[in-house]
Amino acid sequence: MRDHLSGWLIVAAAVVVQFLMEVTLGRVFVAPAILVPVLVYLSLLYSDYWSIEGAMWSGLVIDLLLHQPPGVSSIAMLSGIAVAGKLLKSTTGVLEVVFVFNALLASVFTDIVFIFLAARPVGSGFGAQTLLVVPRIVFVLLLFPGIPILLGRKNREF
Amino acid sequence: MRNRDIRLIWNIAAAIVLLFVGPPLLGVGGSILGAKFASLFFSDDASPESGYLSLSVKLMLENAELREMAAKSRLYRSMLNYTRMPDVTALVGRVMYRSEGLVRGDLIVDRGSDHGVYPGAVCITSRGLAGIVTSVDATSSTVVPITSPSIHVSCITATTGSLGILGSQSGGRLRLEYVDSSSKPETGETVLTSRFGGVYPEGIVVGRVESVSEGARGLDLSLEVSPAVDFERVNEVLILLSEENAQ
Repeated sequence: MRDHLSGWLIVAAAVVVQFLMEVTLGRVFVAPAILVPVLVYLSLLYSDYWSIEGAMWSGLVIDLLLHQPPGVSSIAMLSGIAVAGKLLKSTTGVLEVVFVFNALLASVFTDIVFIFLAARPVGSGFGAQTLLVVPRIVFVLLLFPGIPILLGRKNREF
Repeated sequence: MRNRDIRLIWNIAAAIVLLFVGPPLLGVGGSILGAKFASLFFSDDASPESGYLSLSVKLMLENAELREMAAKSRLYRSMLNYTRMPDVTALVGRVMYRSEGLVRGDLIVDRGSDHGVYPGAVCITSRGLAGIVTSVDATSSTVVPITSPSIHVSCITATTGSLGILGSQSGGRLRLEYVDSSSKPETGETVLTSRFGGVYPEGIVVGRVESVSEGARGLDLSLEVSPAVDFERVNEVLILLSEENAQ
């Protein structure tokens, strides 16, 4: 229960930061992706509750905040994190490595699904600018390896 | 199927349902909540506040209407000042469109023979002489402006009393010709219609002297005159009808 509470606080903070960055820097293609790596990190560290319920509700909140079709971010994050988890199921190593690969893959899948669903007409959003999702994901992943160290979990292995 | 997969499928299904019913749900819910919120501040009963608000709006609209009428009234009053002459009545005509013409085009106004308009009737605006009616239909008539080459007006300058014949030149400018060189006209003087000629009533403003030069034969003066009326912006004219012609 205590883990859930602190986890939701972290997710809420990530939602706020993501929201603020997207309204100030620009939507999908510009603002660094924060929320998906946070959810991946929590799901790896605690339970898959964060990759399912966490993704569902935080996605809905960010959709409502950003005036996006409600449910689009939820579907994108649920499917993105799930696909990344399936593909990297057999990966082993220290938390940092597993996390980086999972977060990277999950963010890419999330963005692809999001662009597919959020564009009107559906599926028309792909173009040269889609490539911009790469730097926005890489940028944030550069910061994340430091977080497990900050939380004292650096020796945990999967 | 594992518990995790079932939860995942349920959540994705819920998100898909939200994707379809979310916008209408948000629209309806938002409208209801918005109305509820607004009703906290604006009650729908006839409270003194709402009465005051509707009265304010009504008065504001009435005010705008009165202002427009006052502006019209000022315009007509200034136009009608010209008609303080015996045996002349005035009729307001709205300019419907301008025909393509040699200099500035003729004005087509929405008054015709049914309203008593006849060829040769003089037209003025609040700024001065506009032109003369040349042809009349039942409900419309054609006004040739004074900038047309076919119009010549006997005019006099207001200060020095220099007499001449006003005609047009290229570019819509007017020129007062055959002015006696001994009359010493000055730039800036107002040019009015004179009592000679018999077509135009005396004392109607025509324009202002821009420059004075020697006439073509060197025996008289020629005055460049800028018209008082801006023919690009004429919306309404006052058609002067003499009573004997109207009958």
